[in-house]
Amino acid sequence: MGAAGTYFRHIREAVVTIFDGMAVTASHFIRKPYTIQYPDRIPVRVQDTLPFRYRGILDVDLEICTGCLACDRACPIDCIAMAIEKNAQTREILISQFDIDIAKCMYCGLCSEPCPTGAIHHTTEFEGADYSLESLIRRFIAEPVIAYKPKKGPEPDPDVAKLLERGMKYVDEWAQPGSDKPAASAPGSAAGAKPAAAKPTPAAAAPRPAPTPAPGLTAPAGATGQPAAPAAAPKPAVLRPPALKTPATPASTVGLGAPAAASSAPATPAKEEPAASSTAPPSDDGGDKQG
Amino acid sequence: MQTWLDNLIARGAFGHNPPRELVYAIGIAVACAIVLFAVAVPFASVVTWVERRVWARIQSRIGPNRVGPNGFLQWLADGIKHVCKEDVIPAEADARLFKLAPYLVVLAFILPWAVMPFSSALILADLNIGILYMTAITALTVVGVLMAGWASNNKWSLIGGIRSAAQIISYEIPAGLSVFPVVLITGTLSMQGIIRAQGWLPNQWFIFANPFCFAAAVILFVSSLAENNRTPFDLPEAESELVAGFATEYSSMRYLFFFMAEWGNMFIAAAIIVTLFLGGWQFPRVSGSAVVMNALEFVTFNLKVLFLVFVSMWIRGTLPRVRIDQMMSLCWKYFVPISFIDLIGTAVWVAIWPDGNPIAAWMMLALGVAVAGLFVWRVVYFTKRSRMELYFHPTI
Repeated sequence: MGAAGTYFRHIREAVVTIFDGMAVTASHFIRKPYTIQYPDRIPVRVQDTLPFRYRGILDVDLEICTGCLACDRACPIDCIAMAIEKNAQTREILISQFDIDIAKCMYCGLCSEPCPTGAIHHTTEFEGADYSLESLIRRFIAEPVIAYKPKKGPEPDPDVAKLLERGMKYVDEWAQPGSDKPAASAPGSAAGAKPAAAKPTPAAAAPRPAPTPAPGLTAPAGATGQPAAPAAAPKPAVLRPPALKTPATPASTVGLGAPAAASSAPATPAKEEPAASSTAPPSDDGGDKQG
Repeated sequence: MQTWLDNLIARGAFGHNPPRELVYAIGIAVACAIVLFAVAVPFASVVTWVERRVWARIQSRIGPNRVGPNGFLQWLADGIKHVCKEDVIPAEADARLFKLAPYLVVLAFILPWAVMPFSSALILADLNIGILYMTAITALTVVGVLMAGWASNNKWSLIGGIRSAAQIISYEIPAGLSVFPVVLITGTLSMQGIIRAQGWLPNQWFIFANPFCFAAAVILFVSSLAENNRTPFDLPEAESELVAGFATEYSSMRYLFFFMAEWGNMFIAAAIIVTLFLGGWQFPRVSGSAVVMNALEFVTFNLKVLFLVFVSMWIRGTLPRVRIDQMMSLCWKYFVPISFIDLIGTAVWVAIWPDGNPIAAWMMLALGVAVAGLFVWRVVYFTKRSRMELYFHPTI
């Protein structure tokens, strides 16, 4: 009776397997779904869960940018456009343009590696999609600013010091990847909060008030033993740190000798062209950044 | 419905001596419109939302939850989108048949609502051939499907249409045969008569009356799934195989008509099973007021029908699709013989115990409860084994 046995075996198997299958799916009814309803119904912002070294959208801390153009030279796609003028008398570098085209940026990190202070760094921000191509050019300078001069000793200004510490930590990560320095939480969270607060929306202009040149303001220079500045530490005659907290006075470039530098080097809305200022621009940012 | 209209005429609600036929015609037309637009079509629309959410929870995801509160208006958005779509009729297609086919399928969905027993007084027409009428009308789907497959001027639609027609016709036989055990027990084809022959207690339902009726109920349920082109028998509309089978060339509202008919037929099929085997609208007599009793009976009927609709959605999320040859072999080699055995077995049972056998009913009920307990135990086993976070709230 093989055929009859097979027949009833089929029936039994069908009933048993369907019974079990329905029990499995019934157990799914009382389970929590796996779906993550990004971006509006998640418990923690994804940006806050990313590691410190995550190569997100670039950000520049102009308070500690030395204007050395190392990032500009290092970028393989030339998405960084900077315009600086060196003031011959005061030996100050005036940065009049700092544009990063994040549409072109390939997030390789080659610009943040040679930065002496870690001013240019990647953030954990990745939501940069927007409706216009122009808004993807992040212009960090509204008015020309004086570049930062790294101190011999510790940085006296506490806010700048905090930025510098974070920047140096970032640069050290590049130098020795995987060497997990402790104290990653406090600077990390400060650094994480800072860039997250800085660029939630496309910035057509500099989101933060750029450090204005404060003419004639001297502060006691720090002692030796400043945080390690591996690259270009210029040896100026007069140390004049920029003051962060003075209110921005437009075109307050009294301390600079070059008059045309202020007037003819605004934050240009043009794309990616070095500011054509009548004073002789530094020769190193030549015409190799077109387009 | 007709008796209610008679009462109204007798009480003079329509004037002194109204033409009876006219009152009947208009009154029943109005009542039909109410049933269709307030029950049938909203059900067929909202059930798509319910099905998508149930289906999604089975698959550990969420389902539509953005359009309206918990995604409740998703069906409305889909309907509006479909209405805004271009209505494409293929160039060489038989335009008249092409346009007629969805209407025939929808006709097969609309007509059975006339005998749907919502409660003891809420039935449009208590035909004395009620269940036969329902079974016959649901076979109209075949004409519409064949017409759709042929008129699309598309080889694959034709194949899909013929497969679907073969499936529906084949499964009509076990479905029809499974209706007869109940008719043998009650001796009437009228829907209300069948329900009145049952009681409100589960052991008085016909599904537990004898083991042959239990098997007949299961076969009726599976056959009605097959007749509706529901998974696991949804080969004619399998997206991966035949695009949309007979409905491939249909766009926008014509397409939606086919699927409104399919989802609405879920209710009708479930209603047939509830009427025949699960006691219909029977509810214990807790109140003397007819209104209260009718309301409770209405709720009971709908709850039972919606539970069976939920089971049909649950099966859709559980089982894989059967092949066409497996489907045919299942019907002809397994369902038809078993339905015949049920019929003969019930006939013998009724001959031996004409008034039923309550002990057998209690035993069958105990067996059913035991099976349900086993099922719950298996569910607990699978839940524990998964070690996942539990979540009892239906919406998320």
